[in-house]
Amino acid sequence: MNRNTRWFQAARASAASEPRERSEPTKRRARERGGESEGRSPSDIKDHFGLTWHPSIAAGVLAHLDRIDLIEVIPEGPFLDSRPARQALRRLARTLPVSIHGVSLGLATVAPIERDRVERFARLIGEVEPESWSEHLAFVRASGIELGHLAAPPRTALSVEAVAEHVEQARTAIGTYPSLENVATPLEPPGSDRTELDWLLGIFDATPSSLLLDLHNLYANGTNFGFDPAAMLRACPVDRIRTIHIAGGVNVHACGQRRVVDDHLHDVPDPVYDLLEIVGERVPHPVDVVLERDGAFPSLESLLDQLDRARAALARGRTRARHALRVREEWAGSILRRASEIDDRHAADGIRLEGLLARVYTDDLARARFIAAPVQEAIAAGVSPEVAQSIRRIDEAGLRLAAATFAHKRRGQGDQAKKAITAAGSSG
Amino acid sequence: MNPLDLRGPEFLVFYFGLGVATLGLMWFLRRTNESDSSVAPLLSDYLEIAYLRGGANEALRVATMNLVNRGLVDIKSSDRLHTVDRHARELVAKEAERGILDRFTVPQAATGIFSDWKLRRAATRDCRPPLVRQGLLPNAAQRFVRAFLLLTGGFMLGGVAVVKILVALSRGRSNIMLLIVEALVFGVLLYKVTHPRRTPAGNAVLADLRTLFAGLRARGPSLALGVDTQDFALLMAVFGMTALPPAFNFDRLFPRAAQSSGCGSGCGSSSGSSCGGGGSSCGGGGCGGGGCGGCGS
Repeated sequence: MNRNTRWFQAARASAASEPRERSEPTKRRARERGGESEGRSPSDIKDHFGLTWHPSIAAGVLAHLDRIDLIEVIPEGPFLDSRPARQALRRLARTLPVSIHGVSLGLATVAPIERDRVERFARLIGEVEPESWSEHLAFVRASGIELGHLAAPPRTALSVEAVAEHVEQARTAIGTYPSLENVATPLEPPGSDRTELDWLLGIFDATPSSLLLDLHNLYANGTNFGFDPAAMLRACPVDRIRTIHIAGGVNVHACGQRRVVDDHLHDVPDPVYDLLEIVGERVPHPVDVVLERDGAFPSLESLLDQLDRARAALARGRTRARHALRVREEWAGSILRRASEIDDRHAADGIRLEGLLARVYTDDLARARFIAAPVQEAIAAGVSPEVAQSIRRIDEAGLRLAAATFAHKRRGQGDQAKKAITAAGSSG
Repeated sequence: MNPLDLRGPEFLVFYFGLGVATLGLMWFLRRTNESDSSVAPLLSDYLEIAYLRGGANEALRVATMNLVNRGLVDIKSSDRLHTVDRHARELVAKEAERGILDRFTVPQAATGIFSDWKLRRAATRDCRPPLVRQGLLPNAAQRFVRAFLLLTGGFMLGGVAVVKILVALSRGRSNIMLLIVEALVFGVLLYKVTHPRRTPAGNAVLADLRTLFAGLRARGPSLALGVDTQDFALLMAVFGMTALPPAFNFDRLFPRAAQSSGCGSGCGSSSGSSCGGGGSSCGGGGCGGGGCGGCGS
């Protein structure tokens, strides 16, 4: 792809060989979660719940730090340019975990991304040292036109390739990969040659980024375009899901058709909690759940109640996963126990059968009884009926030969022993 | 050349230079001693923020207005306050708040809180230890260094002034008044330089709070009395009385504070404060609401 990325190449020259160290908090959280989910039972999983920072709820956030695990900050305007603001944000990040949520890089454009924006973003991330950062899978400008909005790009191989390249460029400049968020769209992006799911799978195949899954966007797109959001959620790469967005929107009717608009101005609807439950069921590692609200703020108590509902929904999913795991473990355990029982029974049968054979080989009376009624003799010796049945047709000639041979051997050993004793006595 | 042999005006210029150099050195030494590279977390307690900003009197003022806003204390006539319910003290957590409720069981002027040493002590007990622990107010060791710097600087400036006065008097000159005034001015400045109320970390925390809550200040006029109690408390704590909507009509309770530039224990207290209600115009206002509403973010 012919993309003008000289400035990134220059940055890469210094950074690729020596990638920027991830900040301590980022590393700490990375240790806490990703890549360490193997062997973790759903009951060990510690999910985090938070809100989007907004002046309207700032006081309430500080007053409820016991119920808020993290804050997501959208770094628009002054936060990118003002040093005091970045320092203040850095202090906020020392007070509770902060995630920087970008809305202006436009990583999903096929045109080159703007160097200046990425550099300012990198400066912000460098100074604030947030837990993580994220961006949208959208384009926000093209041909010199600022959309002022996150627009879903045409879903093509070209845009998949562009996202992968832009993500790599951003990682080079900023030091860590972003989480990439699925966006809501009021129309299927014109020029697309694949479904949203295929497009997302292509992107997460092409980049090591994690997925910031916006459940309301998923729900809105599912409603607007007639697919099952739960099915799409189940098809998403669950190992990449690190953050969940929940939000509310509004139903509108356009040209006689119902559309869900993701406006972040309403409470989280029930279907989103249902999707969150599925997340809890399927994602085996901790996730951050952020309630997005951009305006028409209810009381903070109401927002915290919605967070509590999210906690409950995720916990229900985790419980289901735990139950499923227990069922699987019980099933596996019963199989093992059964195998063990079978093994035990076979071993016991084997021991008893050997005892019977030993008597048959060495005792003439026992041998006669066995030849007359082998199954009954075996059962009388404690051998299980199944095994006893397996010896009902006995090779009588072979048995007699074996008995004679063993007797001969025993006699030989006895003679040798006698000779040895005699020799020992004569020499003494 | 012996500076003590300089003539009056020349010596005053020399003394001025010596004073400025001494102030600069003491400022540098104090700041070096109190600098802390770690980033303290934000304060979340409104009373501690108010104490950090303006001392015990400011904390008492903010606590009183917060109690009025919560409806636990009622405004009687013009500036007199009255505790609505004697059991209200069970609804508050801080000793200073309980003290204020106790005080106004008998209706009296709001400004009376500043002359109540028990209340001041309660506010100090509530707020000072955590602020010192976080390095936002000077601890004992830092206070010792401050006193040492003050004495050292004082000996330098005072010693030179005294020797020069003695030399002048011994030579039969009596025009020493300007030197005495200059020495006194430098003495006051030296105290201010070596004994600011907060540490540099305390100033930084306050500045960051103002930046982060600038958006809240902008929203101040839309606050409703008795409704947005958390917003009210934080707004008052960070920015002081001037950030309040005029509709609240609290200026009749503390008229001097309402006329001042925003905060500070200077309003009704004995100790000065240099903070203001300023703050950045950015910060909280810009973030979060940055506008991805309705964009499918």
